[in-house]
Amino acid sequence: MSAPYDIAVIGSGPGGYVAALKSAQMGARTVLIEKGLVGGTCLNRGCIPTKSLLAGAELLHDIRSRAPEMGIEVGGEPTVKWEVLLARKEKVLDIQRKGLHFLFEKRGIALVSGEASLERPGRIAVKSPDGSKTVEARNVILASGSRPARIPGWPVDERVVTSDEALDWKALPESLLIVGAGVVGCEFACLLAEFGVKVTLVEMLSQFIPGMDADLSKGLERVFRKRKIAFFVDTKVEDLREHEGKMRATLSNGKTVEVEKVLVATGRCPESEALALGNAGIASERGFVTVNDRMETNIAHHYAIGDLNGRALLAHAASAQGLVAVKNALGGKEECTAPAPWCVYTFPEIAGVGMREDQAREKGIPIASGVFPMMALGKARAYGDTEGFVKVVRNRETQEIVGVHALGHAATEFIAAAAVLVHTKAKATDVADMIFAHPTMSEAVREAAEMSLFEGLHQPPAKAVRVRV
Amino acid sequence: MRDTIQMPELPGEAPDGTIRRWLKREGDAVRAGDVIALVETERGVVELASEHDGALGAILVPAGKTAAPGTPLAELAAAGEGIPKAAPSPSAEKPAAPGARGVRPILMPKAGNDMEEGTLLRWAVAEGDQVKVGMVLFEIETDKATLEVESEFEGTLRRIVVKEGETVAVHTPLAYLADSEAALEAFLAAQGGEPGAVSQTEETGKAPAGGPQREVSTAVAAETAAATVLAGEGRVHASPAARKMAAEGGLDLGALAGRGSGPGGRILSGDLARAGAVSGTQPVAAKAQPAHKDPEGTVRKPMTPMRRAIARNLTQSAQTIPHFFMKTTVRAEHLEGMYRRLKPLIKVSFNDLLLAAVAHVMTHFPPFRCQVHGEEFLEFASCNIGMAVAVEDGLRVPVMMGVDKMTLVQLAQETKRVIQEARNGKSANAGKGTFTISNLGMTDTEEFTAIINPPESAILAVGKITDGVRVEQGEIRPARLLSVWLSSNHRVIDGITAARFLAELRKVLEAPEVLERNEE
Repeated sequence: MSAPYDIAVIGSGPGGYVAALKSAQMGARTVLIEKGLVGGTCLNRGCIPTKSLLAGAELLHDIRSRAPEMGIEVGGEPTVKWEVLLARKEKVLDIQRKGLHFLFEKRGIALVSGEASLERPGRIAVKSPDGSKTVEARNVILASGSRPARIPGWPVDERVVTSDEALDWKALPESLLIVGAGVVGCEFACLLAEFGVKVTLVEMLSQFIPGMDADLSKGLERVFRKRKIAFFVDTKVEDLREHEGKMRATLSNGKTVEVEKVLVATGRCPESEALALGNAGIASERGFVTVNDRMETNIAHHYAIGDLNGRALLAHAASAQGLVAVKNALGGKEECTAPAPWCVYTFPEIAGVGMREDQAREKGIPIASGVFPMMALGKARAYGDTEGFVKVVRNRETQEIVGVHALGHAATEFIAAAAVLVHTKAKATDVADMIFAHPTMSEAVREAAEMSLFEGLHQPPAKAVRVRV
Repeated sequence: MRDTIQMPELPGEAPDGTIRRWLKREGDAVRAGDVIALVETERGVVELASEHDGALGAILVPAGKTAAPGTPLAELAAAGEGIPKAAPSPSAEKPAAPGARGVRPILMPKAGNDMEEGTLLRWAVAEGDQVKVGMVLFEIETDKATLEVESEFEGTLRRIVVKEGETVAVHTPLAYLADSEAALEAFLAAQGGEPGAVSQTEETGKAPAGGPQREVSTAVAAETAAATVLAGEGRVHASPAARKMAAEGGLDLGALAGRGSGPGGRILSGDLARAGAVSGTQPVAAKAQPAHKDPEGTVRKPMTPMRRAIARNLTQSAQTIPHFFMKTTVRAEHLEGMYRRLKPLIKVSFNDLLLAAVAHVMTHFPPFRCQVHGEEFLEFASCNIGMAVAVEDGLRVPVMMGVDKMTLVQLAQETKRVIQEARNGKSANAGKGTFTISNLGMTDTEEFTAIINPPESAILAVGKITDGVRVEQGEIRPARLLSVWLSSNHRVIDGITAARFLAELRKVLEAPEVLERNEE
């Protein structure tokens, strides 16, 4: 057994690999343990592969929806060759993974392959087909991530799958039931409907992407309706079974749906069983490791970041938490409290940062909201995609912008500007004074800030409301 | 009949409204149908139009503040009746900007019952500026807080008479709004040419509607208009009682001509009694002239109001309170374990656990719930505990009210809020505590004693947790040890009481699970 490392990181997703790079950069002896391919869910089964496929779907959508009015002629009906798109996706992932290996090597990070489990604090057993070994470290950062949840009692075969399997379908199904209209469900619905799959989307709760601003959900419903994607909210799948070679789902609204395949997208569970947290006395709740804002677990020198702690389930949040954990492991006292923007890569895109209106109300913040429709934006009109809007939520007393919610072309890009405003507690009055480049989609943020002050210029004046007192 | 204008029911999911702007000022005439204020809701701006003719009285909710439906926003005096603030006059239709005669002094506000003086930190406006209602005029520092003061009137700021950094008594004129330079000169001449010598006729630092302790912003202005009129007429208005008192005391009523607190500046007997305090309106921060030359590089610094308050209170405490001191050492393993367990769950701080433990014990020890006032004790039913919070250049002691009735979750939230407020210059519930905790556990201090914060009965000084050893059943074992010193006021607490309190506190700190039992 070798001398103890300064930091051992378990899991090489966007939380773990960023932590390992930071740790090595800060001069700590670092070991990174990964049971599969480097890059975690994000690079292998999440962000990057889905975005690679969505890029194809969006291009096809653009050609179909915008090319004709711009006089662009494509010989014949444009279609997708799924196997080509899949191969391109694999190439993208391969390049990214090679990039990671290159960085690990250049930074002198020891990469150990195998499944990690804790033997006691600071001591990790790594099992792999080549045998077992033990790794000792002064600090341990747990970053084993999460996996898609499955529904107990439903068949587990190639017809009832999660996003993990759907990303590698050899051929597209003719029809698909997606259970759960969260981020994954909505992105897959958008992707596959463009490629001609007959999609039915079922959500148990009352809106698309529960937890998102309700107006954004309604906006997305409108888009899906236009694209003939069938969906039901407030609806459960009561029963799922095989029927004459197809999967037949009975819904709580009495309808039945017969489809070739079923995609279960009801959420994610923590990858914590294999870690044997109990051996080190690490506390968890429903498998998610309990941490404080410093990413510390209840056991000294043991940290948990990313999906495993259940705080955000976002790649960029995991990375931010990884940096905090490393700095604290090496003597810092940092907290990870910055607001994390979130994105949905449907087309049009959806993004948000900060509080929803109802969250602000619950905290007793007096708010005012301003909504600016993309229809009134020069860039959106010129580009040819006027779907969506930006909503800015302002604190009426302090003028601070407490939340920004956007649906529209490039929303995931300009949300970065909004995140800066929310993080720095910028005032709506200041934003109204800032100069945003024209013509851009990001102008909608400034316009919505003005609308929240009830001083927007690019909308007709609101009708005066007068109350007798 | 005097009526109030109330926040109406507003559209939107949260029915509260925020005053965006007052379109009428106190004293302005209002006709039925006139829009008097703009109110913001979640979705837009609502105009509040008056249902009646009349005149706007005191504004109770200033611009920028939020109020629920039914909250009185301002007083409205029916047409023909007296208006609470400004004297009704034929020109009420066209309100003269600064008060009658065109001059309105701006005074150091009295932003709290025991505020006697304030330091002008910063002018937000300059001579010649147009001042609007709600505009921040200046920032002051009292011994409790720093606050921004907004204007309640509009007009041209003609002259600033108190500069940044100067400390003056409350109600001292700081600047004047005036229509013209000439009007101001005439006004000052009528006052005897002494800007500082104006005795004000009216309490003008506005007590906010919500309650006595809100110190956010204080609208300020003065009505001294009538004074000049009468002074110019060469005749002195005074009540018979005042005349008698003046005659008996050999006082010259002329010195107060037109500046009494009665209607139109009429001198009342009380004004004579207060006449001595007129000098109190002079700047009180006289510059100390060094008797000899200071060595090179030496800087003389006046104390800030906060330092003066600390110096005054703690000197008085150290010199007059019969302190006695007692120490106990607590095994802190369980306390630390509980802290580590709860911190990620409910963001509780170590200090919160100390507060909860002290409150838990205090409920059984009435002397620790007492303030000492002269020969009287004030015993509170609940546990009001102060926390010493280090701030820039000093210390504030916000008080947590009713800690014994809070769950740890509530406590954790509330302490965070009041500590933040303290850092922003505001001490919550100052003067309402009976016990203070001074925690230096985050430093390298192992133990220390503290001076009681008067009129409280005791203070607990908490050091850091150290690694030590304890002998248990004849064996030396490592232990985590926390030493606390209790300073008690012997006027209310005897040695045996303090000893029992401390023993009880040690028990709770060593088995702190009892603090979680009320987490329902």
